[in-house]
Amino acid sequence: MLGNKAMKLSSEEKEILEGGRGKALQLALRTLARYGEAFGAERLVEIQSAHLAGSFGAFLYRTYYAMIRLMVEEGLKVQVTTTLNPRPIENPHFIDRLMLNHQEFLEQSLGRLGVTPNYSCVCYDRENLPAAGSIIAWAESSAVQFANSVLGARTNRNSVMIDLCSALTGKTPEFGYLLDKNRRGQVLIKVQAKRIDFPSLGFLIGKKVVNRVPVIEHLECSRDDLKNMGAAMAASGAVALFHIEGVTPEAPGLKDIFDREPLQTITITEAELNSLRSFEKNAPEMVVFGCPHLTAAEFNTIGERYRGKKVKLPTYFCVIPRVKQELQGTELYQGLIEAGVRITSQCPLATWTIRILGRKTILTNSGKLYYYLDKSEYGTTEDCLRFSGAG
Amino acid sequence: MKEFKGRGIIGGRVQGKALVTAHPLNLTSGLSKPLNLFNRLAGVYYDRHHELYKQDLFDRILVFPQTIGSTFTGMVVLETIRRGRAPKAIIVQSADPLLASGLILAEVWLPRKVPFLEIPEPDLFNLIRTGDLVEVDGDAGVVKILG
Repeated sequence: MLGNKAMKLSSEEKEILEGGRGKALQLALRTLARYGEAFGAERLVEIQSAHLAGSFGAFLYRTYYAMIRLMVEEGLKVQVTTTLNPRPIENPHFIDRLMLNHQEFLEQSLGRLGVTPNYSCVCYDRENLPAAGSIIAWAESSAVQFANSVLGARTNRNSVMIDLCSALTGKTPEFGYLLDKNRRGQVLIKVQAKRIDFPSLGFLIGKKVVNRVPVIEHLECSRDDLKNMGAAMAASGAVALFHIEGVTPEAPGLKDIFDREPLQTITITEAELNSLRSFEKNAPEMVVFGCPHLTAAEFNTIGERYRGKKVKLPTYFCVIPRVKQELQGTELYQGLIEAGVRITSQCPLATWTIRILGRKTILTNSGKLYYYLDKSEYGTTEDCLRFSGAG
Repeated sequence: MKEFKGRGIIGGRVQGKALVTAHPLNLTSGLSKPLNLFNRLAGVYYDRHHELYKQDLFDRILVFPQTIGSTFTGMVVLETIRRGRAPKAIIVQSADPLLASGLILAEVWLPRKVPFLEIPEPDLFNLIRTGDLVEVDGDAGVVKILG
């Protein structure tokens, strides 16, 4: 096909391509085969799990709904554990419903296909935890980052709709980050700063590295720090995999992850981080935590700071739904409600892109949210707490 | 007449005016803003972090390094094509999976073909300039600058 080598397909795969198992699977497999051919894949391989990013029922996504309708009509089911991204808005009002007029159809249909309704981009908190080395087909750039870098699983940056094709067929083309040679370190990152916050570090690394594999010199960091850094890196860049010396599973030491001298050594300075972290003091009109969704640990750490306080600005915590449910009865949760914090599981990126009327400038400690939202400023967690009233 | 050979991923032969940038495009960020809801503005690039901010990509021969950002990119590209406001052809230095997905999904599911080529030429953005009249052949993998 157009100078791309055709893939070697099994007899079962060929049967599906010829329409032997219905139209939906035929088109899904044709899509995966074309996708694989474009990137030199020799074959399709089986996946252990899938994650779908297409959880917003916006009126525009007509082809997606046609694909889903066809799959449901033909009685298909996902072949592996398949989780799903957050709901766009939690309490949609009239205009939200007009924009998201396929939300119910989408949720019901994906349910009929057998998708797990976890409704979180942090699917790896419990519902979808792949083993190191396992082949998966995930969408959602922040989840792909985490799975590759922190869990040592193997996935490419799959698009919405391609993710569903993989979930339905149980396959993905073997190319990119599924192969050992593409997981090796390419660029060395040195961080020369006393004050490090991970989302802004991720934002800068993503911008400078774009699509190469960065290896960061050893840093003290938590799992949630890596989640937040990776999400920013995947927004300002196209990074699918990063390594941290002595922290991530594939890089116990620099010599283990680099096959030769790094292609480039990049130093991130305090000045660069500061320029990202600074913002006009009068600008913030609300504060948002939780892009990607907050884990229980983050909910507790940030939530503690609101003890006995009251918010100064509208403040939102966007939390993994299951975590929100589990913590609902706790004293901390109650305390946060009394402080005036709004606890939700919606996607802040979707919510504040869709809600244009009466837009407020958002202060967030999410590098990813800052990239996508026009009216937003990035601040450290401490800044966000202070402006929110918990500092 | 300048000519470049690379790899064609989606076929088709078109001519148009080039729109060139040396900075990667976050097509989700650029094409998923409220104003993009209006069909006439569906192809206008509204990413405030980028030099092509507020430029209409529609009908142009778009030349850039690769896409960055969200895994929504495939669907955003697909729906922009469906709505008839996509670029006329796309030329990148490096074909990334998300952009390729959008164009492949369009070819398989709409079906509609937007010629898509990978030209790994390091000096691409000096050799093709915004405003150049360009001919693209996605089957042969060839780009010609006509004027």
